Amino acid sequence: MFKPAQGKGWKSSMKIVELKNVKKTYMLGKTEVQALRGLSFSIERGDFAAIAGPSGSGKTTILNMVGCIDTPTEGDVAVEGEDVAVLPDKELTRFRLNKIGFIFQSFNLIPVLNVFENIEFPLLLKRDIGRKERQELIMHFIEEVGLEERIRNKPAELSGGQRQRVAIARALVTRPVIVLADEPTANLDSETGHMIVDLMKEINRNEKTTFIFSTHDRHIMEHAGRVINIRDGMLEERQ
Amino acid sequence: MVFLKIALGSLVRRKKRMISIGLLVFFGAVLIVFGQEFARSAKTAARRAIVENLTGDVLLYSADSKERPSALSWTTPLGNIKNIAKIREFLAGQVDVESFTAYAQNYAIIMVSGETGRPSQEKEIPFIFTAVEPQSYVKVFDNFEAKEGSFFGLEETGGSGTPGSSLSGGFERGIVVSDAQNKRYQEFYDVTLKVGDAITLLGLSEGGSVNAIKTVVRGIYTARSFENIYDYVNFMDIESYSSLYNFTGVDTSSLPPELLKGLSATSEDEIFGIGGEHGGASLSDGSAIDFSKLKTTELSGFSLVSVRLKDGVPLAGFMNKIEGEGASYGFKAVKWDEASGGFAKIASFLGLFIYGASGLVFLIVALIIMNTLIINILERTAEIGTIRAIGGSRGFIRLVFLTETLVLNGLSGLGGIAVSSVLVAVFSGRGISLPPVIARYLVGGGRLYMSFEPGLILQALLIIVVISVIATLYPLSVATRVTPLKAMSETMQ
Repeated sequence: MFKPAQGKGWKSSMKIVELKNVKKTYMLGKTEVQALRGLSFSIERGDFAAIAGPSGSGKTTILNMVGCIDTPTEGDVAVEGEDVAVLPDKELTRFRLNKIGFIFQSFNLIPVLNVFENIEFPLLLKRDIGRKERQELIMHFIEEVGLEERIRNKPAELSGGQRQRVAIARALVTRPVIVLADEPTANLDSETGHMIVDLMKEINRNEKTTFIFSTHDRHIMEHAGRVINIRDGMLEERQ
Repeated sequence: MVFLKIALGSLVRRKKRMISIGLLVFFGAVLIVFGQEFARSAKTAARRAIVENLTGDVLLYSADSKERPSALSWTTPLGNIKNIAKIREFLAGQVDVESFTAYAQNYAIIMVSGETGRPSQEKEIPFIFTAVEPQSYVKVFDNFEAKEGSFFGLEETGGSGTPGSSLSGGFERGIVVSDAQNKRYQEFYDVTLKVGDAITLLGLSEGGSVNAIKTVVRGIYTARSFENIYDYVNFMDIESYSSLYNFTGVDTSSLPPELLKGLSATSEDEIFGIGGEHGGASLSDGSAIDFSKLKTTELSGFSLVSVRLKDGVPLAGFMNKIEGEGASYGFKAVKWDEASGGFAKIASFLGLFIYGASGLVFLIVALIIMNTLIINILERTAEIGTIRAIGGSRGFIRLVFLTETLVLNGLSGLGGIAVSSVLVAVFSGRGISLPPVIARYLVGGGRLYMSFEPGLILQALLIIVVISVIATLYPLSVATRVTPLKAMSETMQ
């Protein structure tokens, strides 16, 4: 039977993400772009945090650092006490699989897999639970996101909101310590967007999973327990 | 097995593009299996045709010969084989030998009256021939269809003599003429030979003397195979040949010294001085030549011995066996393919051509597979990035793309193999009708009957798998370099 994430891997420290003086520079053609300019902040376990800011402010770069899919040019990034900036690719892959859930702006479901299979996919990569337990877990999250009627549908047969629900279930099914969502409502109409954020918040409450999402939508920000404002790669925090 | 699900799903999702790759692989597989079966069958048929009609499995020739023998040895006459009796004995003692026959190839002139029969219209026409022991010859070569008359009076081709038998009668002396040659005689000399025609043959012996014998046309024949060669080739029995070229059958060591001197005479005086005033069959002292003291010897004049081996006897092993003995018996040996005058090379060349064409097709297939996979990867960077972001390893990505290629190419290849197998089965019974010129040079003429070699299926599958893997290596390196960042920056298609 599925058990909520709270009971497993809960450590004494409340800081689940910690960024210290993080800088990120990359080349855009021949131009050097400073995406992050010495950023430091931390996020507590169980937070429902929004990273807000205009386009190009560095929101996605922060999520990439926290999500272990990019490394800082300078500074430290620790996730659950682990310095992820120094981990080799294999370790980072395992770390992402076990600790982090992703929700993408464009949903990014595997087009040839149906709803059930898309949610099952990360569990098959993990290969650490049996078939029966796996099915129970998947069904729990399918119910949680309200897609019981769409189990066998392929992504192309779903609406944008439904696809994002599948993405949320897929992100949660491995019971990660953090779920990162990159502008999860950007490709949805406002009503569906609110529903998705409500759903994420509800899961945050029920499963005690830490959510960090980027947005530039003020209405979505209102749902966040904490908003980290970014401008030009710098922090502009307000509670 | 989620990798398999993703791989199969992706193949179906891009079915148009995949079908075009599949068709190329299918065509490549057909070319490998059917093409190689065709080349192999042609090679087998060419070997059979050459061995049964031109050379035998092994061709023996005089150790003194500088030239190598070939099916077209008329252009390079070979030296006479000495010790033919010993060689016969040697071959008869070989358990691997099915049959053998000795023969010679040479030129002569036929003196014949024109159609009107008036002496003033007497004509000399060229006569290219093989001098044969008819009974043993038809045991080794089965290429003659009597149009008129017979092959030296033998009832049917195949004869009644014992394999490799010496002259023991049982055939009619004379010549057998190629039907095509006879037509050319009509065309160029206004002469048509008929069975029963009495003719005079003129031959120039090694010593430089011109001999003449009277003989009879015994048959007009057509060749079943290699018409392009046999159309020009006629036959003469070995006894007539020996008479024509002074292969007397008398052991010269038993001749009286005075007669030997006469044989090496260089002037008429020396020749006519042998018998002194007595002349005739007597010596200068007046004594008669005692014919009972003369020793007979095996008729000579043979320049070639064709040997047929029993089925399943390895040729290389037999060659090793006899090459060591050759020096003591005064012969050298060549294999059928070396003696075929280039005919064996045609089938080998065809095989090489088909190998080359298959290689070229698969090179193109490999490049297209590579190109298509790279396009697929570029279209799927968001998908690959997503898989990597949510915890899929590089190995998983490699597995997905390799599976896609192997499934597509494997199925297409199996389809090609199945179709080729059906075609081979059909043509093994019915035979392939080749253009006459190609058929004549490739397999001696007629239809080409294919045979099935199961090993080629495994070979084709192996080639397809190897090509698929090689063609996937570079795209795989591109795919595994896609970072999880692509999941954030690219939109899924």
